[in-house]
Amino acid sequence: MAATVETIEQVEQLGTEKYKYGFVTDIESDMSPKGLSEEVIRFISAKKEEPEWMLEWRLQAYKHFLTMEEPDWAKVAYTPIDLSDIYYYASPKLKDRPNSLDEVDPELLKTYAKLGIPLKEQEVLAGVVAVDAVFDSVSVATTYRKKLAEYGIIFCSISEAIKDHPDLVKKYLGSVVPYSDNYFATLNCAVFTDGSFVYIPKGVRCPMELSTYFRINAENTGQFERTLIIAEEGSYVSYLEGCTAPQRDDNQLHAAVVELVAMKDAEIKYSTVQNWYPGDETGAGGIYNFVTKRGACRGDSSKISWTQVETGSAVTWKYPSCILQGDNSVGEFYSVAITNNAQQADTGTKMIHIGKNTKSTIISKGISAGKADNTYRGLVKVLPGAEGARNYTQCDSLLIGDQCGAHTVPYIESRNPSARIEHEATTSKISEDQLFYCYQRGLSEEDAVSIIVNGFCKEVMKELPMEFAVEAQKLIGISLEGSVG
Amino acid sequence: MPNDMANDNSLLKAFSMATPLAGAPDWFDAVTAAGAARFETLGLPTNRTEAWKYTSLRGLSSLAFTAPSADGARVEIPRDSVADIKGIEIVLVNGRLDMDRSALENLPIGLAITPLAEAVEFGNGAVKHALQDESATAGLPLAALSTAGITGGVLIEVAKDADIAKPIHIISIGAAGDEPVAYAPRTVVWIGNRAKATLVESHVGVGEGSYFSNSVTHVTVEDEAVFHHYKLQNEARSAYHVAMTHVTCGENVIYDNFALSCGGKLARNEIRGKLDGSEILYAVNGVYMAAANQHLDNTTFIEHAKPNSQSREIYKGVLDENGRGVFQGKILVQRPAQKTDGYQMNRALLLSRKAEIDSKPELEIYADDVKCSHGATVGELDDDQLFYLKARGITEHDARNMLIEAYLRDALEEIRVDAVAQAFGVKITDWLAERAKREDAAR
Amino acid sequence: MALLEIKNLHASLEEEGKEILKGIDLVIQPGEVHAIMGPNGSGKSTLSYVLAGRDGYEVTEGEVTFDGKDLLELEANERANEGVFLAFQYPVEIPGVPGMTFLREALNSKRKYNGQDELDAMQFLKLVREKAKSLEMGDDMLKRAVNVGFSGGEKKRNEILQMAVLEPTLCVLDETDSGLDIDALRIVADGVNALRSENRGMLLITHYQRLLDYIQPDFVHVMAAGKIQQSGGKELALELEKNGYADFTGKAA
Repeated sequence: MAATVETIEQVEQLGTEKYKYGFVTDIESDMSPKGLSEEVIRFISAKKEEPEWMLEWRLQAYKHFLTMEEPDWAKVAYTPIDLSDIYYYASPKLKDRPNSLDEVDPELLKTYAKLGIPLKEQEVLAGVVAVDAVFDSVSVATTYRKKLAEYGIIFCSISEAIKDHPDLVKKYLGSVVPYSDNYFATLNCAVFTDGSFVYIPKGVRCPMELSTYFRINAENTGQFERTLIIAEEGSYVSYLEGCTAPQRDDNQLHAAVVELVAMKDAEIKYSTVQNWYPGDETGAGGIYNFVTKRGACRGDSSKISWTQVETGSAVTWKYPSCILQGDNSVGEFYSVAITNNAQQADTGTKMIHIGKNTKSTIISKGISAGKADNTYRGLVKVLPGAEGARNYTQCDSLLIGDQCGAHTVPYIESRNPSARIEHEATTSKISEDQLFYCYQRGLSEEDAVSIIVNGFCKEVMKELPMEFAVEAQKLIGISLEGSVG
Repeated sequence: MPNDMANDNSLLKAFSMATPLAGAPDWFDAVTAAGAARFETLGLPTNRTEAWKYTSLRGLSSLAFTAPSADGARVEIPRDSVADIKGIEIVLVNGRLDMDRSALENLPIGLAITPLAEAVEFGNGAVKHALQDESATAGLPLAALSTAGITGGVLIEVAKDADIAKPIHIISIGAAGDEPVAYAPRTVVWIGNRAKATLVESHVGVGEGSYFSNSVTHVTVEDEAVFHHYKLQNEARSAYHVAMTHVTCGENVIYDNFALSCGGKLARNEIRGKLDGSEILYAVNGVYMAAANQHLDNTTFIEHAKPNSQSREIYKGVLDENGRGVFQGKILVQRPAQKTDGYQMNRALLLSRKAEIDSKPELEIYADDVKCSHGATVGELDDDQLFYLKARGITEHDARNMLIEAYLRDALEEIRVDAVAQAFGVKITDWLAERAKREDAAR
Repeated sequence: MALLEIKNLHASLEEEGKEILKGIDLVIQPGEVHAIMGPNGSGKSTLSYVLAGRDGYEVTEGEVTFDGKDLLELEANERANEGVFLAFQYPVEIPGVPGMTFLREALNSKRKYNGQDELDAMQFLKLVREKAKSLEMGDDMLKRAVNVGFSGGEKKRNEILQMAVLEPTLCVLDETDSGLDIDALRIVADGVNALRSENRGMLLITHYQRLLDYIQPDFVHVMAAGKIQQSGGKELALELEKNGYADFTGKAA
């Protein structure tokens, strides 16, 4: 059983306790000045009681950030982000948090009901006070600690790791995504507020799926998460990241960084179901999901597998990647990206083959409906030393309606004669025949579209852990509501 | 990039000086001036320009190009390099029409070949339309640069219903003297309703000196016409070759293009096709073979603007020594272009540890009822085939060469005119023979 | 009350405006099996699509009453849930969707429509296995994606399985015999015969008499040029087998 479900209950108890001590007031006083400046970064670092080296790193990133320009190569168009208008620490939204489910937007609750999320979880997702206040990562981590400590596994917030495991953090933070990597990642380095830290010791197979299912929801305005996962030799971990809480903000920037490090024979499986608020039908509001995710297969025969189901956000800009350094290492990317209404997604992966006999597989399913644009953008790069490298890429696009767009932009670069790269892409629509067949068997339009699209995504969905798969399947149906006819 | 500006300017100067069409009408001067202005705005592309991500023109700036001299060097046609086609020949030397060696008279009925200067002077509609077409240089810096200094060329017109059996063969020769030369030939082709014609281009060079051919070709294929368009790029190994071909197809057209690239130090063959009609069969295919210090770029753009058309694209490459290949292919399906059927494939074989291929097949689709697919493969020869040949007693070395030849020759199947397929086949054989010689020498 | 009553039904292709059905009259009582025979292009398949509510056809005149309800007012999925089942001439492939998932979804849609509880996975599995057995369909076939990679015979058997599970009151079988070898035909026919019951009506659409050797109809209608030209007992089918459709196509022209 995944840690997710049981934790929610535990967390809830903890939260209620915390709330008694007037946690909300504390938060309000914790708000940093608006905008981005060295002062704000020092404020964040001080609030988190970070060591000097961490602050230095943040400031270094900030200095570099000032020399950078926002990238414009992705096939997305959006109102530019005013970085001076953002609170980088604490939540301006805390004040209008609902006190009970009665105060939550009924539309939102309907969605939850459709997802089959139990009432208790609905409260968590909707951000009802009692539960939300718990999302202090220290408490969350403690609930795991006992169980996981038996295995020597560290699973805690990144803030905590900086304090308690500075050597590990120092060694690995920024080692996969350096502070100078790209505009949004660099910004993240300067201002990240929290995130997860996972360390799996040598030879350990993590006994449960680790999850940030609720944590991200808790950090209602924590738009800059930082996650670092280290899997030592011969270890295994499956990590789930769920962003199933629709947010009702205006365009809000979400710029996370995830770094994975897999040593010899280690395997990391990282699954994401992303359903941030996509904005309304006209394209007003919604999250800008500009995320940098990268894994390094450092050791021989290591493996990193990314699986993502992206249904939310107004704009998605995300390329979970693998650097295949170790010989015989394996990188995988399985993706379903659904865009409806005015959503835009530019997503894909990079597979960098460095070691010998490295293998990568890319399966991407893009579904576009409404007036949405959906782009697969990917890079497969084989360096001269990657003897016997193999890549297989399959990108399928499905268009629903004649007002949307589906695009495929693969970059294939090979410098080794023994490497083999295969790329295939197709574009199609849901056929009238398929729809009618489903209707004739009694399925409603929504169910018919949902079942056909789930079939189209099968190869990706089967990579998701059980608990996630069911939810993701329902999510696909919900995201496409009203797209046909 | 301020430091690049000086180089951009010297290039522009080399081209602007070139134009022998001085005394041309005002509208033509306006065209060249607009080209120059556009190039100045766009600048010479760098690797940061997405369309030039994989092809660097840095080499150009290290050479001080001059315009070709006005007297027109009397150079021999290098027949070994030219495609062996018995056709109606048009000869250009350093981008200028060689009137004496070009067949401008006694042409088959329905075919007219006019020197560009003459067509400009008389304000020929097709030429005027092509040259004044802003979209032919919009966002295309090299085409703009070419327009700034058009050196010469021809207008080829095929009257409606005419069926010109004999291929028209443009031989464009680069011949640098003591200094590197830069030139900009311009070809305008107009194929009337229901007409049929074949055009072969041979781009070749003589001598050791470096030259830069920066050509633009405009092709208009009217309703129900059939146009076969083949190109051999076999420039001198020190040459720079940048060619832009704009194709517009009407209803029910068959347009069939094949480009064989094996010459030049750096070559970019770019074909931009607009399928502005239904029931079009549009094919752009090619083979590229690069060896030491060669960089061969094939860039294609296919725009489906109307419903029910079909596009086919197959490019195959072999890259030996430190040769580098680039393939960029994009299919754009506009919203009205329902029932589009688009297929694109790039295959590349790296034959050496120093070779490199960069491939970017791209789909941009706005219509839902379409069938579009693309593929790209990079890799070794098929193990099973190799084993099969070896099992029949053939050495590994020979078996490999047999399979490479088969792989390349297979591409020639796409050429619909047998004589051209044969002539291009010879170039493939020559290239492989060269390679075998290198291999023997190395052993 | 008649199960199905078609009165003066006229229908055209929406896009071309071409009239295909030119006044069909047909009454099916519960328990009856009717066969409609006719040459290619007579409008047989169109009739099945119009009954099932496929988009692209416009009913320009006439009415269809099913179980006392105006059938033409209902959406395609509502008709299915009311009990109209169409066994397709060309069953559609739906890649990635396991046949079991699809069928369970269909059955539960119907149960929900009728205010019944949905079946859980175990109950459903038991039900399907039972029905599948008689059609000689094993678990491996049920697990595969809907009709994907099925042979012609397997597709048709799958249609009959769906029919058996969904238990419709009106079964329309469109060219169910096409593409079947003799063994497959027997299995399919046995499946259909097993479903004959006093409150279920069937409409067999076929080009050949062959199917009617295995599924004996109560009534046979000859359709040509968008109209029912003649009706009779099963002897009419034999007559057609002997004389062909020439008489009728001639008459229509």
